[in-house]
Parts: sequence; structure tokens; C-alpha cells
Amino acid sequence: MPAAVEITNLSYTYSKKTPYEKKALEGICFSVEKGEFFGIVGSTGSGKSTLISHLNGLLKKQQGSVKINGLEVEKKNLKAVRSMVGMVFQYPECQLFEETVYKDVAFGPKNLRLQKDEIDLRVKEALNLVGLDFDKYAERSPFELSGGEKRRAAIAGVLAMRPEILVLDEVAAGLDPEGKKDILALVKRLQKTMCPTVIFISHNMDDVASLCDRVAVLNDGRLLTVGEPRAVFSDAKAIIEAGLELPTATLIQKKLENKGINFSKTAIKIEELAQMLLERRANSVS
Amino acid sequence: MFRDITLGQYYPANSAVHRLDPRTKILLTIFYIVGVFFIKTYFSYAVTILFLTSVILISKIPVLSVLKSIRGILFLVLFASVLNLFFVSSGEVLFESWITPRWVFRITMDGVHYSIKLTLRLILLVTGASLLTFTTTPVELTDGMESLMSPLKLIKVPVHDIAVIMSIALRFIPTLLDETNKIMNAQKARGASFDTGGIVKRAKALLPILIPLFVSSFRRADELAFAMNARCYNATDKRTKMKELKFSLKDLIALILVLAFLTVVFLDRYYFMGIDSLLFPGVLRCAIL
Repeated sequence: MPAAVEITNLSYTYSKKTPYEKKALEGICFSVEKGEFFGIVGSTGSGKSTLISHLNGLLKKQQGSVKINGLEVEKKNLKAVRSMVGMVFQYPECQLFEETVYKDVAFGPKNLRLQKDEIDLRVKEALNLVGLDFDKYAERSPFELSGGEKRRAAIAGVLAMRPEILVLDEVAAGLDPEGKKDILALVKRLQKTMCPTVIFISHNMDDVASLCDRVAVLNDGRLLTVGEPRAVFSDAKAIIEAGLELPTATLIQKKLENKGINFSKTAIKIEELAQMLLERRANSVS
Repeated sequence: MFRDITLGQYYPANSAVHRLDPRTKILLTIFYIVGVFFIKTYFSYAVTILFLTSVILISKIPVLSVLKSIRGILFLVLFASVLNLFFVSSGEVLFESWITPRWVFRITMDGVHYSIKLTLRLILLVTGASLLTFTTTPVELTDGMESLMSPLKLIKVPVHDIAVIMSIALRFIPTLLDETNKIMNAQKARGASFDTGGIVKRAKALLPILIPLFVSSFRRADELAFAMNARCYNATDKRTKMKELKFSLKDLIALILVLAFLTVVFLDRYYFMGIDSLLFPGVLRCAIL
């Protein structure tokens, strides 16, 4: 069975052969398996956006290969690829344009040329998934919703295409803590119910550590490492060199280690660290 | 993809032309354009080409990229010169064919001359004018315009406000291009296509980009107005500038050079005309030139 996403030797240069030439990606190789919650992290300008723009052919490939479910991303496959890969960009509420939430969510399915009742079904399903009540929201203008609701509506617009792979770029950025928690819970729920493969881009290492099965770290257009969050974050030096932060738990653990308290393994979630500290105390008491 | 577009077409270089006062450059460009409209003879065209080429060389801008600015009007030039070839019917007849008893297809010597001159004139105009934007940043341009228009303040034209609006508009072009690109990508990811179908379909396909773009522009304008207010912006006369414009010796030299060029063109038009009448006897009878 082919991997959900398979990238081999991908390179990309902006403004080739001009004084403004800039290498954005260089020799990227990795694959995302079906059913995986895959994280991509990297500082600003590390090439994350360029990388995900290749996943559904928004950027024309210059060198290398990108395969989605075994299908090469190129001009003749563009339609098929775009219906498989759902992209939720940063601040997706910017894409809202229709008079009503219903029409906006239906934009994608309409472009797929689906039947009227199929569109109806999908809009209902998508709004339901993101937790917007169909009867209450369908006929409202997307511009009068609150920030969090707008973002849900925009995500529903992508889900209505029923993508197999969901790409989320900084999906929680700019929301209040409550809204952020809701959106992350929504993403988790989506992975379980609808699109099992999720590619999750974030600056927040705590989110990445608690959600992702595997993480890829980008630095300056190159792939620094790929692996399970615990393995990736245990190399603290590399993470900091890539201009990133450690998850809070790992950071606290590092500080404790500097004070001479040693741990057997790297903690990446707060609960884990708490558990480890409790075990330690129990051991020292006995 | 929009990252490749540089605003206007400013070409950064350190040359005498770049360092001229923007007001000088604007005025001299206007003089030059007027001059080009007064050209009548091939001799003057040769002088103009020589003059323009030397300015381009002094400005250190690659000649090729200046010539590229013609690309946009190439169709217009071709269209106009071909049409004129057919519609000028005075002078020595080179080719004639009667299509119907009342309709004649005729190419004359005057027509050929007129077409050549029209082509030269359009190309010289566009290259000359684009040299202004090649060597002057948009900000300098607005500053220059503001200063040149300041006499209009006497008749209560809000010159400063216009200049501020212009520079803000220029400032936001790259931002809006970026935004457009983002929105386009988002809609493309939802299966929208902008380059297929007939003209009506394509126009309709733009709505999903234009509406979000308008919404965000209004939001941005609102935020900017707040931010300016919060920093006590007001457009009174007492405002000073970070970069004061100053005329200097090089502006005077540039002015003298352009005036010399204009003098040649005018003298040639009204008194000289010698070389052309020797080369092409009879061409000067053509009234429209």
C-alpha cells in the first residue's frame, strides 16, 4: 500500500536566476503513512509553507517528486490530488466570501461538480463535524460570525470536500485559549472520524508533542530530523539551533537536570513529567 | 509567484540619474515628452535616440531591461503603424489596388514615413517615461509630486493628503499582492480554477478572491487609521520631513542638458530640416507630420 504522502529529494528555489534568488527547500525526503498524525515544525522562513504548497500542487515542482497515495502531483493529476488533500491555511477565515455559511461551505463540493442533494449532505456533515449547528448557522452571513466560529466555518469548507489527508497550517493561531482548546479537540476528533491522516504545522511545541505521532523538523530549507516527538525533542541542542523551543515539560526537565536531578527518559508532556516526579519521590521515600 | 514582482520597476543602482532630485526628474521627463511630440525629422529622431541611450547608459540600468518596458505597448505600436500605413494616402504611390470601384487599397511613401515615425515616437515616449520609474523609488516620486503640486495649496487643494494617500496606496501594493496570493491558494485548494472557461466564467471565478480581498483591505484601512490616530497624526503645514528635497548642481546640469536637447529638436523642426530634405526629397510636404 502506498504511503499517504511520499516526498523524495524535493528542492525549490524562488525567483530563480534573478538577484533575488532564494533557496527555500533543498533535498527534502520523507513520507507520511496512512493514519498518521504528522507534525512539521520549523522557524519562520524555514520552508514549511513552501513544502505544504507542494502537497496539492499550488507550487509547480522544480525538482524531486511528491506522491499522494501513490499518485504523482503534476498537472494532469491536479484535480484528483486536490480532492484528496484538504488544506487549511493560516487564518483560514480569510477565504470566506459567500453570502451565507451554507454557500461558502458548498463552494468546494460545487467545484467537484456534485449533485445538489450530495452537496446538501456534505455541508450538513461538515458543519456538524466542526460543531456549528446547521439550522442556526447555515443561513447566516459568514462575516457576522465570531472569530472562532469563522474559523470553524472555513474549516468546514475544506472538510466538505471529504479529503483523505488534512493539512493544517497553524490552525490554532490567534485564537483565545478556550477557542484554541476547542479547535485542537476538533482536529483530534476529525482524525478519528473522517480523515485519518493529518499533517499538522505549528509553532507551539506543546501541541506538537501531545498530538503528533511523528515530527519533521525543518531548518533553512533542509530536513533536520524526522521521528517520534520524544526522540526529536530529546536532542535539545538541535531543536534550539533550528530556532525552535522545547515543549514546556522538556524545558523544566532540562532545568532540573542542571540542578543534578536525573531522569531515565525525556518527558514531552506535562502529565508525564508530573508522573515521573511522583515516581521519583515514591522511590526515594521507600 | 507574486513575490517575483517588484513594485513599479525601480532598479536599484548608484548612478547620477538615480541621485537627481525627483522633482527634477519629473519635470525633465515632462519636458522630454513634450520634446518628442515636436520631433519632425529623422535627424531629430536620431538625436533623441542618442540622447536617450546616453541617459540609459549613465543610469547604469541594463539596456535590455529598459527595452523590455516596450513589450507592453508592442501590440499598440504595431496596430497603430499598420493602420496608418493604409490610411495615409498622400504622396508618391508605392502600391495600389482597387478592391471595389469606390474602395482603394493604397500604400504611399508618406504613409511609410508616417508609420516609421509613429513607431519611433511611441517607443521613445515609453522608454523615456519608464526611465523615470526605473531610477526613482515610488516614495521619492510621491515626495516629488507633492512638492511640485504645492502651489495648488493656494486654491485649497489638499496636496499633502493626496500625497499621503498615494504613498499609503503604494506601500500596500505588495501586502495586497501577498494577500491575493494567499486567498487564491486557499480557493484553489477548494477546487476553484481561474484559468479555464469563457470570459464570463472567468470573471465569476474572480469573486471568491475579490470579496475576501475587499473585506481585508477595509479592515486594514480601518486599523491603519486607528494606528495613525493613536500616534497623533495630523496633516498640518508644520509637519517636517525626514528627507528634505534639495536642488543641487547636478540638477542644474541635467536641466541644461535637457534644454539643449529641446533646443536641437525645436531648431530642427522650424529652421533646419536640411538632412532629411536631402535624404527624402518630398517627404516634408506631408502635412500631418
